[in-house]
Amino acid sequence: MIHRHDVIIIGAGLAGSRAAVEIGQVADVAVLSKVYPSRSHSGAAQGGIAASLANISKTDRWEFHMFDTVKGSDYLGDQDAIELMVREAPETVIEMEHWGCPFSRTEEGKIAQRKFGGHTLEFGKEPSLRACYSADFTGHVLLHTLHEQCLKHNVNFYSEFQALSLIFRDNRAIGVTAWDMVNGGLHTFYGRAVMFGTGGYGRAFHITSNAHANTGDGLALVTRAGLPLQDLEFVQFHPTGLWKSGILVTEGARGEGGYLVNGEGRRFMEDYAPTLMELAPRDMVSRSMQTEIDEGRGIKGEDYIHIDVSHLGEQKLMERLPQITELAMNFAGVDPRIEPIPIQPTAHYSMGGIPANPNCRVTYNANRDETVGFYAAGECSCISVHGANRLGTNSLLEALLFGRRAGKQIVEDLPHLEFPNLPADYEDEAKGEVEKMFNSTGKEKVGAIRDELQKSMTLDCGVFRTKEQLEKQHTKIEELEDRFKHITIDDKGNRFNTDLLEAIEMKHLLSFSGAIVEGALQREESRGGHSRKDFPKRDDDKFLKHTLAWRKDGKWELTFDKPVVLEGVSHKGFEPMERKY
Amino acid sequence: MAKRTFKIFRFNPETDEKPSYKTYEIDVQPAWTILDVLNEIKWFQDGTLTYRRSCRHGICGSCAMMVNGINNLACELQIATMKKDPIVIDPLPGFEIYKDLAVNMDPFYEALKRVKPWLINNDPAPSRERLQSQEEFALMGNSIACILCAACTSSCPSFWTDGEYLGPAALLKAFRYTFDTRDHGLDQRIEALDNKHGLWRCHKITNCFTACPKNLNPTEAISKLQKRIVEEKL
Amino acid sequence: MNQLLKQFGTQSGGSTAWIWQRITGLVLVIALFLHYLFLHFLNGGNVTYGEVSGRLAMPLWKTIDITFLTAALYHSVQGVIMNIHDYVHRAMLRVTLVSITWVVGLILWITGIATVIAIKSL
Repeated sequence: MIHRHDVIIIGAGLAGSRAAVEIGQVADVAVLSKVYPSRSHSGAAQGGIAASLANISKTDRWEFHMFDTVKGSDYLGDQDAIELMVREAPETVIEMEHWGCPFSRTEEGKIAQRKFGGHTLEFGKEPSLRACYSADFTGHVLLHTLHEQCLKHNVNFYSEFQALSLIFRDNRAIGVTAWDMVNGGLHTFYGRAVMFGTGGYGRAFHITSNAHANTGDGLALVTRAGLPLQDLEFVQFHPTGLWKSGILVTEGARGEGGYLVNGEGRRFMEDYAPTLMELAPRDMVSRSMQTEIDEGRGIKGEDYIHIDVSHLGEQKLMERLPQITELAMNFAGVDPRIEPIPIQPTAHYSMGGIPANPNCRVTYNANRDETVGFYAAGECSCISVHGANRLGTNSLLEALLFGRRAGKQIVEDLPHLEFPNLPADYEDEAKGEVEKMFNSTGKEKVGAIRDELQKSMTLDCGVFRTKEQLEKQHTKIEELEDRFKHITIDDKGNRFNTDLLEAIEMKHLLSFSGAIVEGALQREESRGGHSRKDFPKRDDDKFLKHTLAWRKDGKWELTFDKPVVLEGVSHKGFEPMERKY
Repeated sequence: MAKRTFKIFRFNPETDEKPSYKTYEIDVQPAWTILDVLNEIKWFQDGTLTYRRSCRHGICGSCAMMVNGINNLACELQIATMKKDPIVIDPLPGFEIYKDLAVNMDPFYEALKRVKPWLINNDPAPSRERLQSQEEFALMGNSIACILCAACTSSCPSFWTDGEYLGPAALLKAFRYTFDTRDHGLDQRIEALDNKHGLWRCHKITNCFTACPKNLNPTEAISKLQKRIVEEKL
Repeated sequence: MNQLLKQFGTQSGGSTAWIWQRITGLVLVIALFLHYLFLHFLNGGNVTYGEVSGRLAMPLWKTIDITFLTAALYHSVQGVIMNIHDYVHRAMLRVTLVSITWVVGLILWITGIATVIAIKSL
């Protein structure tokens, strides 16, 4: 079945929904989502959304936010995009407030703001209260408010459609094919513009804060269409994932005053970041924790650390961190009001993704040349505002703000974009893929392959990496790719076939995991979220560059010649310096 | 590790004439939830088992189902807290069954849309945020934490008989906007609310309150809305 | 939609029944209190036909008792109908049961009023 709309958006999270609100008011927009839109993973974000509103820290300014983001990115972030983001942040957040988003309030009745890691005043002097929040379910209220705006503007949703392939010819995005989960069957969607807001790839890892659905589908589609992926080796490991499950404990827990203790009962962060302590950026805190664990100072010598919030008192916990209190009880069996919560670093966020410029147009080479009719925003994109490490609360901001920019850009571009012609082979790739999965009669099971991929990624491509580990993982992925050719699925029906869905997701995971490992292997330095034990220093001479990775004939081809933008749009930019907190 | 028995509702309208239960024996690891058990079955025993899941920590609302007769989120429900054996797992009642534990949620979302779930305020927006005191914010209670999992609506006998009934989730949403001091839209919502399939269909059975995995209280919200509408009318 | 409108009656309404259910509930609390007070406590617990009929012969008591009866019947008929609405899934059966409930309620009401009016002191 073929569907024709002006604009096709894949993903109904913050980026996709925000763009849809913008476009839905002037053009016919369709949003495809693999889940019901309100189930998108943006809703799991907890702590807040950054904007220098200065509601509490009265002297806060966008320049401070820009400095923090640039420094947090370990200078790999493109400073023109960062400047645009921090300058437009206040209006973007206030617009959500005007649309009814229920933010927590200050005593004056303004949007409440809290501390978050790496956000400071006066270029690093003291913590800034910059994270606008709604208790500890900020992403949830933002997502629901946006979804409700989509309902208001009669956006067309195609819920429970799994995207299978990107139709991309002669540098022009034409549309996508997708599988209708409910009834089965291949559908083709094409339009004058295509936007990806498909989210991250945390499910490549075993210990992850991400949803089952976060299998980097957009990245897989893009790389299979012959386009490059950027900076994939930069994966953020969030310091405070619940032990064993990786479920997120918001950084807001530290922002509100929670602290980390090791097996000796000591606040070890004083050894690593004496000024900001627990409020250092996530990559640093994760490395500090992992070092404590690796050197035998985990709790009871095991692979976890404690975060203690009990001193905050019941009232503050129930008011500011109700979800965390509940999560700790449900999933760790501890009552945070009286005892510490066991935590370990958890794969949380993908800094890398589909290269795009600040107008959200997807680019395809180191010169940043643009594709036509193809846009990306949110976690799946790499506009590179986060560089090598993202600051907490900058992700909701990025998704919302660049979703908004993408929407406005598409509205502006639409008059110049004709409906493209569907090529004759528009559904061949997807059709072949699905038929192969239905007909394959090998011995391999998707569940087992996924398990092996995730566990080996966490083990050998985790917080710390070495050449030996990465080479081992490289071989592992090749082996898994090979075994995946011999899978069989139990469910051969059309109706709501989640067995097929999981096989598709698995294929997507394998489509780009190699690029994470290859990037990590070839980037012989330590920067932000990428930490090589055998190359512990940052190497600006060689690697102050973005990685671009192409999949060609079953191998990854990488280049390190896309320069980082070191000047802002109006700001002269911040020179790379040593990163201390 | 302990062996537990699970009786799971199975129905594939493509091939089955009527539903049946299938029994699975599973080695349950410590701290496992119902979702962990379903995953264990699907990934390693029987790939045809069908259910929805996503975030696996109780915020996305995908995995609501009926366990031992009470609606709950599969991802949050610890096996260790359940003494009864076997544990019986059914789909959410009151909805068309797509397959096994996955049901058609479209009517649920359509009901939501009928209450106009967006801020209605035609005053020109100020350049900064609209002010709202902490007390005013508190009027909405914890209704803003609703994850639209449908555990409440699906547990409501009034909804089972009257498919047109808005149901507790949509009414909770109407409450959330009506009691948001920034909203002026009650006039536009009243048609959907002051209606036999709206507010007055609620007969205070309180199943919704029992079922809600987020400990919200739609019954109380509905009562407050009913009072508000009657006050408007008088 | 049209079919449902037929099944459930008009779209409007609901609030009136809701208010009356609460008003009659309140009336019942007061009337029940008076009933127990006069029947079982103020006369030392001796309930005789003569004593009751003597009181019921008074116009004031006739009014109180008719109010009591009306409120009780309205409240209980509404309550039964709510249960039918919630638990009877077949539309035809539901309409039939609701009609029967109304008719039974009406018959009881007429019979009750006739009795209260007719009663004379011994």
